[in-house]
Amino acid sequence: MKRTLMLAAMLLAPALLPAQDRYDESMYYPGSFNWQFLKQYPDAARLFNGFDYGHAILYERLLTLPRDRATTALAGDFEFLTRDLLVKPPKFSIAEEAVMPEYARLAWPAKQAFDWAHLLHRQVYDLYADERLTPAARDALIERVTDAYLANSHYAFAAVPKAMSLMDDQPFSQRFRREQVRFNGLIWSYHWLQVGLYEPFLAGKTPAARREGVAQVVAHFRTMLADSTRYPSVMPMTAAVAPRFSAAHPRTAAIFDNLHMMHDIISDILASPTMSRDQKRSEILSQLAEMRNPSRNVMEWGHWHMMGEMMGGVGKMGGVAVP
Amino acid sequence: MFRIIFGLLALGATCAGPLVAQTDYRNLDDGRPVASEDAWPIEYRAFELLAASTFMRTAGGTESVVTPELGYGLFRNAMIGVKLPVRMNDGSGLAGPRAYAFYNFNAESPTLPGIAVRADVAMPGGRAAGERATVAVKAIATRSWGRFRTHLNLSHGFGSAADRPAVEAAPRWGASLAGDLISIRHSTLLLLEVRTAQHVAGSTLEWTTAAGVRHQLTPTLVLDGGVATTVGRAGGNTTSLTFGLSHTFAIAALWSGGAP
Repeated sequence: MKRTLMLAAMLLAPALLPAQDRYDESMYYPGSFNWQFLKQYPDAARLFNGFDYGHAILYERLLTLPRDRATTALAGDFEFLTRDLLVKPPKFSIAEEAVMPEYARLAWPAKQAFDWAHLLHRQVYDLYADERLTPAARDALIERVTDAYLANSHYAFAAVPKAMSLMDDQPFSQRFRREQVRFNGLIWSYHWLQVGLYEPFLAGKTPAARREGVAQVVAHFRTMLADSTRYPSVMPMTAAVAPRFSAAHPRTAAIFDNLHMMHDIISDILASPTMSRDQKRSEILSQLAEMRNPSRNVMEWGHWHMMGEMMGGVGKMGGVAVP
Repeated sequence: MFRIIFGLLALGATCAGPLVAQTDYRNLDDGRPVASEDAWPIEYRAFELLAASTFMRTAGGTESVVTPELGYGLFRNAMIGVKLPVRMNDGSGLAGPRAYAFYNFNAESPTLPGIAVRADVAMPGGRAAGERATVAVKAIATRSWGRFRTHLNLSHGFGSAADRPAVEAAPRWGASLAGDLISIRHSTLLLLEVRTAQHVAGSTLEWTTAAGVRHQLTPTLVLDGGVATTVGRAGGNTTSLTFGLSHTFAIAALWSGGAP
């Protein structure tokens, strides 16, 4: 009898869980290029582990605390990030769900979509850092890992530029950047580095020049980090900050812009004082579906390439990574 | 046998390049280093090669077991694997090859923990194996509380005690509750566990307390170690130590489009 009950419970479990999010962890595209960036450029690579923490703690604060307490907590988090964690970032990726447990439970698919896009970010760094690859082989592999990324269609952001109105002109839009100016600037400085780091690999003609270029871009980021008045005042767009990379791999660049827009969209939704948690989850999942859709609310590629000028100049975005 | 074990280890070494990993230290495997596991499978299309060693001191002497294991993320949220436990001291030999399947139903939600089920088959084969194949099933739940997580495992073994292997046999009934605490900055996990098991119908329950640690050594390599004490066991109280390594990798040829 006990055995029958136990087996029945196990067999019935799927039927009892139809509306639950799936765990859905996937391996990213394999190849010997993986981990080359961490191996060759550990100081730069480890910064991204700190960025993950910053994104995670931000979402947890916005979701779980009222505005005034969130502001106070984020002020402390800002100090921790800029004076400690980003000064000496973790060696390996962090388990974000340990930093943002409430958010992860609320919007697991969105967390997975970010993780999947962050893996693509890292793989492209790895490919650029792998000096064993010829430029042609490297470029072919970047397209291939982008294809592998897009094949995971449940979580892949569209490979075409989505309209900026999705980030700026919805009922919930722009609340976070207005209420948390400094923390928003920090997030945008992350995004500047995340796309800007591709440029020295394309601009440098020798391994030494590429290494020097990476060091200069990281140094520029650290200059921004030390002085919040130098943070980007508009969202860094890949085509403006990293024009060489955007020309070489426009699909990948558009994915990263859509990822970064989605970061801002979720910040705004979480900062909303009028939405319930259920409404926030529903809105996040709705926006995620929109940002994955390559056929609606898209921007002309020509417009996308001009975003630097259209948004007030690339200087407001932190500047071109490698002038 | 040892050729098989070393062959598996060599396979992992040669496929070392690609990897998800980096936070695998937080992905608990059964017996690594405590019996409880979490409700999360390895990533879809990832392989995980594990090598664990357990040393046990009993009233009658000592016993050591080496267990190589290979797991694979066969589908989303599902993994399969094989184990080859080998008893290394008196009566040394293979304790029957094992195969298992693991399926996760859901991510954690505001109302539900992560829930998974697992089925293991211990097959005959080897001097320390059972006479017949035996089956065990396990239900797993994981709930997180920030940096702290709890894991509840409930298991049931089918088949007679005489058919079970001499080492690492699934109990008739088993239950475990474990908690872990993560150090994000140091990529380390600390674990505590209490578990109970009944091996034969009507026998007294054995109780075990265990502690362990898992640490990410490289993006693809996790080191673990643990200690456990058991009371109520038929052969007397025991103390055991376990340590091991796990290595995650993938094979590009299995990807659509093949190797780069």
